[in-house]
Amino acid sequence: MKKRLDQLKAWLKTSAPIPEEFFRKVSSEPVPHHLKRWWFCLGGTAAYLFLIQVITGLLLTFYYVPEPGHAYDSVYRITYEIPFGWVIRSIHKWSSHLFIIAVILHVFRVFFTGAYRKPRELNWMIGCGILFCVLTFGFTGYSLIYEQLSYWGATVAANLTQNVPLIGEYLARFMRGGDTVEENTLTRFFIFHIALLPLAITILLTIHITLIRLLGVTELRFEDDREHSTSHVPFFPNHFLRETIIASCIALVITFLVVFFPAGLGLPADPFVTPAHIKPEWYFYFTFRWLKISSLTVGVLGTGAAAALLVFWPFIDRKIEKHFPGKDISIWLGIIAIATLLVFTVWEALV
Amino acid sequence: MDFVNILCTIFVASLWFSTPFSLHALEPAIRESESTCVSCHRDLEGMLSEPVRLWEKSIHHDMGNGCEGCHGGDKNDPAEAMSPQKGFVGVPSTDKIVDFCGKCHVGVSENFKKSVHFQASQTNLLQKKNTPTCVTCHRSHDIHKASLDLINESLCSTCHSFENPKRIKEAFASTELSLEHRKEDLNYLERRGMSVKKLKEKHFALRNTLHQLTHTFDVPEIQNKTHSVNEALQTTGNDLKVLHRNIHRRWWVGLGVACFLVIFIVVLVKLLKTYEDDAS
Ligand code: HEC
Ligand code: HEC
Ligand code: HEC
Ligand code: HEC
Ligand code: HEC
Ligand code: HEM
Repeated sequence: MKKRLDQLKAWLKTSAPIPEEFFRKVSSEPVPHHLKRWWFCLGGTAAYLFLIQVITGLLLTFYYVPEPGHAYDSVYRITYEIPFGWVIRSIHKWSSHLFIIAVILHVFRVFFTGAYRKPRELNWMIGCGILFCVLTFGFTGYSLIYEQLSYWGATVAANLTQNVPLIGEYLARFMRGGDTVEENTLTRFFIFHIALLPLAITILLTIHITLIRLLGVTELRFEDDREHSTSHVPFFPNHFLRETIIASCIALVITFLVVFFPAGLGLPADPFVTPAHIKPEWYFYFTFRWLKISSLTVGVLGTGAAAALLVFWPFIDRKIEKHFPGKDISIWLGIIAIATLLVFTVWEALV
Repeated sequence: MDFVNILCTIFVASLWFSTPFSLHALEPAIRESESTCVSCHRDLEGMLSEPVRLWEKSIHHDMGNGCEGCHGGDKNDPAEAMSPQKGFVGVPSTDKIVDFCGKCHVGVSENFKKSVHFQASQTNLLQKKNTPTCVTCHRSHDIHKASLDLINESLCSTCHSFENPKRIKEAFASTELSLEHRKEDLNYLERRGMSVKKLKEKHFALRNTLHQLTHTFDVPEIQNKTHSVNEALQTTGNDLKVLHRNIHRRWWVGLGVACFLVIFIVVLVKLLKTYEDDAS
């Protein structure tokens, strides 16, 4: 047995002559001790969930038909007729929610530990790019089901886009591929969902992680870490094991959700019947609520301003720090922003 | 600042934040605009404003059937709102009410026209009896979701004995209960991921055959049909048992996977511990 293994190793070495040193170097990057807390692992958690999405999404594509006349029926078939279709679809659905939660929490942790500050401004901005991709991922994916709520969600979103000043008309047209949500819309949502967005996220993520490797993560020291003599642990196996443990816990949660709350299906989309309560997915609740309580143009512009604020936060933060040093104003602004977010989301959920 | 501290602060801050914001402050911004019928009649006196108050709590209000749905007219033009040219029909006379409501409730009014109640209203004037119309039982503005409670002694016995009404009520009541239970069961199965589309269609048809009978007030027919519906419910019950078994099978498999994962996690935690002990 051992001999066989050695033979295989030798064969691999000649066929793919990558120096062992390389693997050792890549995998044993020292990781600061404070990363043992779970909220410092949220980035890794998101990466794991993204992987799940790619695999299950690929499997769903085998049976999904991106055509208005067949989309709903194909999802129905996946859910109720194709063996294990319900498992794959339910995993894809639930881990999409967990993915978005993980990304949002990751942003919170980066924010509140000030890890976006110099020299990591660029990485924060790339992170924002990822965040927008992730949200668009959710939106396009939900629309693919072509049930009443998802269809009308897409219609409302396109109508809202129309209110963007100057370019709104073009933007909405680009989104729908016409004047209403129809064939062209579904095809382009499909292509975005299964090709363009995964590609974009993969590229952005590669840069994201490369930059983390180059810059290292922000060094923090917690009080209860003092007792430890080592301030760093190797990525492999320590940190890797920790991420695997978290991943397994999440797999446990997903198993529970899939078995007890499998993905269902609403009524098929009907362009002539507007449902009484149109609601997007929960992660758009706060925007939706905000748009409802402000006028349309102000609403759309406000959303844009909030997005810009997020993207350029590292620079705004620097200005604030310069004028009011050591007052933690950024932290408080962040808390207010999150409180607003929570209130709007809960508000929309309740009505 | 410690992370847990931050989370707690966020929570408290969001509670504090939500008080001044709470719904009524911004309510007007989200309320739908009113029709001119409603806004004018609301401020009139007595009989003219009473309908608004009653209608606002009715099922018609909730389902989007406004004044103009029944009385006609133009709800957007305050000056011409009640002009006959705009289709305003005013207050219907008693003998017009069945068609007045039947405009929308087509099936119900057809069945009602087969009933003794309607037939008795069509006989000649000398024999004419006091017969009920839609609004006798459902009233005109405070109409709510219909239920068997509408068949009650104080209403029916204003005109005749409660004997036959009681038979109708009893025949319906037991079947209605079984239908309701079956529907809950189907909803449960659907939530747990079972395909119940066909079963639901069947169930809907069954419920319909029963409800079509209500307004015929035909006692033998009602007793017959409720009996056959009960039997049909029993036979489809077996299909549902299979689905329940499917769900349970899924749960067991899920439990198996969960157990495996728990063991896996425990092993990994132990492994990590040994590495960490090595390090320090
Ligand atoms: C500008 C105020 C105003 C508006 C708008 C208005 N009404 Fe009236 N309505 C009245 C007044 C005043 C009366 C009583 C005098 C009358 O019969 O003309 C009345 C009477 C009625 C009556 C009883 C008529 C009868 O023959 O006894 C009905 C039914 C009615 N309105 C329905 C409607 C409907 C339906 C609309 C909307 C399409 C409407 N009204 C809009 C003021 C209004
Ligand atoms: C479901 C149909 C329906 C709707 C909706 C409806 N009505 Fe009526 N309304 C009637 C009927 C039927 C009568 C005749 C009263 C009767 O015979 O009991 C009536 C009578 C009236 C009368 C005469 C006064 C009375 O009480 O007899 C007024 C005024 C009136 N309606 C106004 C309104 C207004 C205003 C609205 C909107 C808020 C409205 N109605 C909505 C069916 C309706
Ligand atoms: C003698 C009393 C009576 C009269 C008259 C009457 N109904 Fe009903 N109606 C009932 C009862 C009782 C029910 C509830 C049946 C049930 O829940 O099984 C009902 C149910 C309904 C429903 C609910 C339908 C359903 O299938 O659940 C509608 C709509 C309705 N009635 C409309 C009308 C209309 C329109 C008229 C006039 C053409 C009318 N009713 C006349 C007693 C009456
Ligand atoms: C403009 C169309 C329209 C007219 C006219 C109308 N209704 Fe309705 N009615 C509706 C709608 C829509 C609903 C809600 C959908 C449903 O449950 O069928 C409803 C619901 C009802 C219900 C409750 C049904 C249930 O599911 O329990 C009753 C009872 C009822 N109407 C009675 C009447 C009576 C009595 C009249 C005449 C005075 C009338 N309706 C006139 C449209 C109408
Ligand atoms: C406004 C008066 C009136 C009201 C209210 C009324 N009915 Fe009747 N009903 C009649 C008349 C008239 C007949 C015709 C038969 C007769 O000659 O008595 C009749 C006949 C019947 C019959 C035929 C069998 C029989 O007893 O002769 C049934 C069943 C019936 N009604 C059920 C009901 C029910 C159920 C209610 C209450 C939801 C009700 N009725 C309320 C007037 C009324
Ligand atoms: C698919 C989504 C994402 C994945 C997979 C991901 C992955 C990661 C990983 C693995 C880390 C290492 C530390 C940690 O795990 O916390 C990290 C750090 C970081 N991430 Fe992300 N990330 C994602 C989205 C985002 C977003 C949306 C932002 C900001 C808007 C962001 C900003 C940052 C920054 C600034 C760091 C450096 C933190 C430090 O230096 O301590 N990331 N990311």
